[in-house]
Amino acid sequence: MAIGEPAVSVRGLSKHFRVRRGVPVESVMGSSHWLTQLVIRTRSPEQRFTALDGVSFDIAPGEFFGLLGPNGAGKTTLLKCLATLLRPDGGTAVVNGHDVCASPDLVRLSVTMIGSGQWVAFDWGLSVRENLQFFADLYGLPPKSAHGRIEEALEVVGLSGLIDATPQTLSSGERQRLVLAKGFLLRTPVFFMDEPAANLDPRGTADILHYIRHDLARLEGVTVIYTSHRLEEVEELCDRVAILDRGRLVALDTPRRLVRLVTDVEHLEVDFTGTAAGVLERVAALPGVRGLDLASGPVAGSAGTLRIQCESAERSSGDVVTALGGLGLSVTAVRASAPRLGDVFLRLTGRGLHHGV
Amino acid sequence: MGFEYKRHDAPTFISAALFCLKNAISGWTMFVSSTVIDLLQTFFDATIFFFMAVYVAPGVAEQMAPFGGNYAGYVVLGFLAAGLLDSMMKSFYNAVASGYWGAQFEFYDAFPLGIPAYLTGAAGFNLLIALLRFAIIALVGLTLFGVRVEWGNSPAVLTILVVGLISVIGLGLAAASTFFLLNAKRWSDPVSWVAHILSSLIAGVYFPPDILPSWLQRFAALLPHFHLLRALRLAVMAGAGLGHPVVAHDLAVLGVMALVFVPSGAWLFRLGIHRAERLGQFTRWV
Repeated sequence: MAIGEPAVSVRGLSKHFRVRRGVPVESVMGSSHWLTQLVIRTRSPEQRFTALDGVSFDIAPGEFFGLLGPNGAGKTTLLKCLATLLRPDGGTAVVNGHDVCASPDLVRLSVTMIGSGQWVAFDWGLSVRENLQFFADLYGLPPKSAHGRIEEALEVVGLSGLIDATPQTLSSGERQRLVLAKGFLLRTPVFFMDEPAANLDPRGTADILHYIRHDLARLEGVTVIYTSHRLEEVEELCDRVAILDRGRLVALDTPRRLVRLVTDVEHLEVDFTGTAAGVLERVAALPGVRGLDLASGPVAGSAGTLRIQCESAERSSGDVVTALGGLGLSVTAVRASAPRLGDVFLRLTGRGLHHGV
Repeated sequence: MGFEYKRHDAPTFISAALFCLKNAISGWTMFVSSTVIDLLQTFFDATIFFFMAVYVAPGVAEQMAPFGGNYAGYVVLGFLAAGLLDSMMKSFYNAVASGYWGAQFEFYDAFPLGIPAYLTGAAGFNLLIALLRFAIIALVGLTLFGVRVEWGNSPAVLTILVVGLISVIGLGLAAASTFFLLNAKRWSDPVSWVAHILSSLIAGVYFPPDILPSWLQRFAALLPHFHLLRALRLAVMAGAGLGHPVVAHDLAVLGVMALVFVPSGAWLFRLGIHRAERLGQFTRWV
């Protein structure tokens, strides 16, 4: 990669998936199941949906770049395209100076992909150390340095005491730590991190995020492309944030500049308990409410938090409390709040990151 | 510390492939009762075939003449060699299926040498298991049924086996490609399936192809199994060397098949991988 070139350059990247309604593989028995599949699939109509729609951006070397969007926005598809695990249908993507379609192997040499749920791919018959040894082999780490790297990575993720355990005896949080340890074995120039802190407890999350932000990004200078549903993580960690919605890039800027987009309205947070069927529609219909998102809940009997964009927090708070009371919900707290990235998403797309209207 | 890059050199490939092989072996031996049943099944298969051979032998004495007149040896060798070829052919498909259902394939694809190393380790494992079965059956034949083997001809036998195995690697890769190209994900693929049926029927696994109609015999000659079985039997049972005209002819055909099938199979497999990358079919889990 030449000096001054972006670490990642994406131009008009598109990805479509074709879905044919077939018979689930599990339900077709017999040695000629492939024939059954072939016949059924050729007779069923094809559906097409767009996962990425002409996405373009550049990421500078050493930048901590966030991808934000609800489920299905295209974040993981984008990361997989950049990591060469998926082939884009249109546009170009260049990572570390190599085109992901023309030179996928060269891209693979210089990137590390860390995802949530990757633990399913670990071999459960092998110990933590042996699993990491396998990946050290695949990375091409010489045996002498591999030993030290494995211990170092396990130290970072807090799994040193479980080096001889097998993955099946680990908790889901510990398995995710093992995924992270696998990723930390080598300092490639670019890291793709797809919800890396999923399943971690708050303390573990804080430690890992500190390591990623401070050690990997600041000290080592690696470029990080990071996705998470936790807005506070993205706001705190990322130099710039791209907001994706239904495969389209709807905004790209620093978190500070992005939240300026929603300073023309006031923001209200309302905590409540109870089963909240119809709460979004009811509150959205109140005068002065410009948008809202259900930040958590509702599950029967659980607590939920509504984030409301309104013309006047003072005027709307009373209306909201009355409306929720009318639905049989108990309001436990009402507070004015500062604008957040989720509010930006709501403004730009008309939908909340969680369950907004 | 500066940036580091993954490596894609021969030592990395060998180390990763050996790890995959070791892992497959430890997985196979992890469940002792299954492993024992697996091996016992091989023992009983061999015994059944030997018994069949003893009773069928008098009826096919004429056709057995070129092979030293030993039908027991003929049928067991056919069973052994066909099993070896089937194992080799199926190993790539099985590796892909395991990788897909075990969610490891996408993991391996993140490394330039990941999938080749994984497939090599898995194929090596299948070959080792097939050779172990080969050894058990040979032991049953030698100790319980008095089968005679031309031990002095081992170099020729080994050459025939190696060339024969290489000739089906291409078919194995083609079989593995159907996992993605034809969505053949339920642990069976059309290429191995058709090859197994045809080889059992016309390639001379259980009976000499000479008794078949001539048009079927011509069809049999298109299968690597036919040439491997004939050359191997001549070498093991009749002591024919590599200079024997039939053995030399079969070896040449197997060599040509290897030259044609291996690149074609690799091309189809690559096509399958590209399709999986395009459609996002590397894993259904992650």
